[in-house]
Amino acid sequence: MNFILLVKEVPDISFINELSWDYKKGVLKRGKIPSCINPSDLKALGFAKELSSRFPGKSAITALSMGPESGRVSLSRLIGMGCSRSVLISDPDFSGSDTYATSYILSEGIRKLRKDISGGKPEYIIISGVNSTDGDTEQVPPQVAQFLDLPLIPCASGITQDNPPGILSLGSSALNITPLLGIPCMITVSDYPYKVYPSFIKLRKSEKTDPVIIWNSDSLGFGKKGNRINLSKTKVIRIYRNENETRRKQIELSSADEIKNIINQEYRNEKKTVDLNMDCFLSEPSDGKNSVWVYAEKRDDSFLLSSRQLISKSKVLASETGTGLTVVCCGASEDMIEYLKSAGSDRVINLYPEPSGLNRDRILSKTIFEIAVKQMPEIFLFPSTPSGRIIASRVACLLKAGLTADCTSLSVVKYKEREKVLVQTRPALGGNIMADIITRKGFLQMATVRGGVFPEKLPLKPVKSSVDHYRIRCDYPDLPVIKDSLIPDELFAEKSELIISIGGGISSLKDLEKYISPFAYSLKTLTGFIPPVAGSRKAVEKGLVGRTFQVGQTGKTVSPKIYIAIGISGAVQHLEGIKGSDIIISVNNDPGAPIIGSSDYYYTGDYKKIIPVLITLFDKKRNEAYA
Amino acid sequence: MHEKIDLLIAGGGIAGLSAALKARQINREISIVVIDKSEYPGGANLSGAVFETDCLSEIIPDWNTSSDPYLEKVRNSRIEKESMYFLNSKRQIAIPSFLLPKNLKHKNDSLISVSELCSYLAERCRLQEIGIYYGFSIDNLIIQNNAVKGVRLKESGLSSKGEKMKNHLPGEDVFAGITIIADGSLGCLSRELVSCFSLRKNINPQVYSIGVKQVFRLEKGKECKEKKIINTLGYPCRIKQFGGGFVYFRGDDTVSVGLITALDWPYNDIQPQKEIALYTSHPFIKKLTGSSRAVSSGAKTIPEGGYYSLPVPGAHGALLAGDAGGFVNISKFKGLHLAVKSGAAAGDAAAVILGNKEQNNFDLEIYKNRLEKSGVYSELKKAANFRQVFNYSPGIISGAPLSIIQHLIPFPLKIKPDNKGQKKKSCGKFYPEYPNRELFVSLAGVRHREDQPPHIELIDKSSCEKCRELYSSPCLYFCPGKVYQLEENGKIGLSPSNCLHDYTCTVKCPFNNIRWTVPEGGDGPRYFEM
Repeated sequence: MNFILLVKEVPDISFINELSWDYKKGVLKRGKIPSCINPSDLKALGFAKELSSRFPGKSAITALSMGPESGRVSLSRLIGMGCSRSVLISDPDFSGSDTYATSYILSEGIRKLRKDISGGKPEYIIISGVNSTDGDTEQVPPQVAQFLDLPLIPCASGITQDNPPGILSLGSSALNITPLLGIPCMITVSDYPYKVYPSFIKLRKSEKTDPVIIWNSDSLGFGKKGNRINLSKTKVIRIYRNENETRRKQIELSSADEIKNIINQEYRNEKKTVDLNMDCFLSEPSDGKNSVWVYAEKRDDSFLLSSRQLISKSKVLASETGTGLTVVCCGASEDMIEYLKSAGSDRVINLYPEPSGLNRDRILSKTIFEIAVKQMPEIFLFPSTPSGRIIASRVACLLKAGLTADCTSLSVVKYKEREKVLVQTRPALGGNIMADIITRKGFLQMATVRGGVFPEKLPLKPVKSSVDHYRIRCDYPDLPVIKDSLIPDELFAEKSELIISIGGGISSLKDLEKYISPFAYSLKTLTGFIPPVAGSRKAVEKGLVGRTFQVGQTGKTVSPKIYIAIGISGAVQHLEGIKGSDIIISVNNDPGAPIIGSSDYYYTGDYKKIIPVLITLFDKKRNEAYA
Repeated sequence: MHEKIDLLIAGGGIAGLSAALKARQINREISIVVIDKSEYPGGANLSGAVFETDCLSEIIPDWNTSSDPYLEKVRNSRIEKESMYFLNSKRQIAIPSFLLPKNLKHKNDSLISVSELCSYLAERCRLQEIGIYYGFSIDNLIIQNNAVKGVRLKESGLSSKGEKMKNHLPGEDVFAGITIIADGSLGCLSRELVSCFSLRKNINPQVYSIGVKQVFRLEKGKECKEKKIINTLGYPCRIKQFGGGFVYFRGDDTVSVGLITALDWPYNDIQPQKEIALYTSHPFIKKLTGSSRAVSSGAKTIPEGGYYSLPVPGAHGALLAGDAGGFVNISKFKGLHLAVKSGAAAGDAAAVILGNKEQNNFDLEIYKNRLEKSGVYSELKKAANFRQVFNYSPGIISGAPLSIIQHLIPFPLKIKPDNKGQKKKSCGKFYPEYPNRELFVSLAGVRHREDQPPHIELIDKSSCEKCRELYSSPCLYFCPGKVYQLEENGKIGLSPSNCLHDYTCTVKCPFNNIRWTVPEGGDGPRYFEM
């Protein structure tokens, strides 16, 4: 089996600190930040190495990268780490490519490569890190998969001992095991616990022979230098510093009621208090085309909060551009469609029957494309959930649309000769900078939008809406997927909006089960999902949480809206990993614990007394909601 | 059989890279490889960074005329203004310039960043076909037939219990004709070499200071255009404590503040990073830094024993350079220029020896001659008794006049190792709550893979109990990284992943009870603009 590893050289964002900023110009001093191989691509390499050892016969890993020629050093380092060769696609023409262009060029590279390595036979697996630390869009792997028309196994974290090996991955609603049957596919790796160490001897050998192959625009058949049309669909119009103040408020809370209120308030509140003006809803006449589209994601029988928030924002955008709102959803019940009507949808497109399995995203994307290509919306927004990102990426490929990931702000402005342009603002480089991005003229404007940025608001008056039920027709030969256990993808601690984290203060598994797990469960009334329970190093060492849920400098870096730290003293390694959290609430019985200095809200006292009260408070709320 | 490298340089700091560049100048044919445990050039290098630039001509002959932007920057970083103060706990007293000895004047020096100099030199090495390998830890020396034959790299991919994991990589052997050891102050390899070949035949043990440095970013609009340095004596050092502080304005929007203190303090509860907090809260220093925030911090030990504490600078097949060889001129509080000079001398000597076709011609005298010729020895001889006179006088104030005439003392003054004067006695200082050690460690960018065998171990637990009785466990305080913590059961618990690789514990533990081995490659602090 042949493995193609997609890698990227990125600036090492762990080196960005106060000193990396040029205050006067408001830009990063890029030259001062060393480059490294994108960390999740290194995990992917470890994963590929283990996987390749599981296939009989000859296996080889080819690293494929796109970037400036200076990336040669990093790529030759990969050979010291176990790749058999490295290919670098490098051409000045390709600089500044967006994810669409990058994915297209990489997919052309893979086409050329597979001719070389497997004589065109479909005997290859593409492996990539799930995201890159500089762009952090998570769009390139699904877009490459779409350009090559391959299934995608997202967020892989392990390999089973079966034969053929199965890939453990977090799907949209379960921990999946996908046996690899020799069908080409793309695997994105989100977590792999074993670091790959370079061998000095191999590295030295590779540097002496310089085995990195360079391909340019010409060798990929894009034509001679400078002759090429611009493949990118988006362009960055402004980059500036993210001025988010990180100093913590350190407000002491004294009762369970106060804690409950703060969790409620902060979870519902958006980061910057952007309010939506709902008056505009009916003030502007709609053109009847309903050309602002939104994809709404559901879990069980309700829409996720992030989707509901996005619908409210999209309604406002639709009014501002003088059109109506179309909501696309899949497998929605009557109640859910009623909700969409009350939320201001001028039209609802409900796809059915709901597909499942590994090709779910492929089928949905293809179907959405079939509908959208006939009606050509102007704006198409997706929630930036794990599956929302993948579907958006695939749809953008099919519609040749520009797609901006993870927006935190959207506005319609006049830009040059264009009257109404959607400015998509997103953080990049690990949240260190903000970028304003627009879609180039003539292309559909697509974006995925973070949850928690906009409030969920219903319009004052209901609108007349039409509902289309659309039957899904396309199908793909499916890989058999074994669902191991029902685990919501929010369990993926890095992406969750609310995280409960425990430390050395929780003494045993019994206490975890008695207090923390029920607390997490009770919070479902607020969030709609059971928040993940992560932990500090001490909690991991006590065996209370798995190592993949270790948060800190050496574990995961998380940036939820709310981080609830219970019994965590706040060692520096831990604090490093939670710096990006919007709100940190700590419960600790030590009034001198360092975590207090890093908390927005803190409660000093025994968690065993306060947590049960909190559980009843949140459960009471659930009872009221059902009443 | 694996490739044998001609010249292997263990340690990619200023000394190591200088050695590589000099060796390449002398001999274009030999293969030269530099290996360093830090992930990037300069990642673990720390210095006050007042730099006597003239020594650069040893490794970059045209540095003074070159149009290279970095070298231009070095030339343009000359210190424009300097002053010296004595501090008591509330006030400062200016020491007039005419009273200062020549060695404390820095008029022609440049104020640089040692991390930046390292990355520049590493890049220069790469262009000259010198193999630069960062992120590889060296476990130990390969010694055969009483000669150093190369190094063994650290085995990686072990679990905390020492089991081989899926990604296990055995320690690789790297053989070399000559190995230059430039692994810095108290580096594992230099200590191994000194002990295996009994190189410490001189009269004095090596003694150390700990230097703690923080870089502050000045507020918008309060940038200081002038490159000025302010050195201080006195507060927060106690009367019998050798040390001093500095505030350096680099002519941009940063100011670096540092404190150097001799490690021979008798108190059991001095915390180096709290000492610098005391220092920065002194009204005089506070006025200089304003309300700027610390953005980077670090700590390292400085070998300050001087001439009479130097080990023999090598053994068969190996040469010691830079801090690893003890080449620091403490009378100037500077070591960078000696790192360049001793590095260049080692590179020169190694290239000459390797160029000589006869077998078994290793001759340490060649290196000693080069050190003599470049003025390293003569500079250190001038300050041979400098450090010692402070221990022979009742305080730093009375030591200062003595230090000016110390070179007239015709015989070596003796000095004891740093951990010999330990007492169970509090320094009696009330430390401010903030900044705490957590912040300090975080600003040093320290990271280690957690699940590896601990790189710091207590050799004998019973010694720790004895130490607790006799001295109330000074390791709980002297470690700037808070590696040692008191557990609920009264025992010492370790957090090796906080380690700043400053090696303070290896000399300050009263029972020499701490074993420090190198962790996996790439682990450790990551200094930025230090």
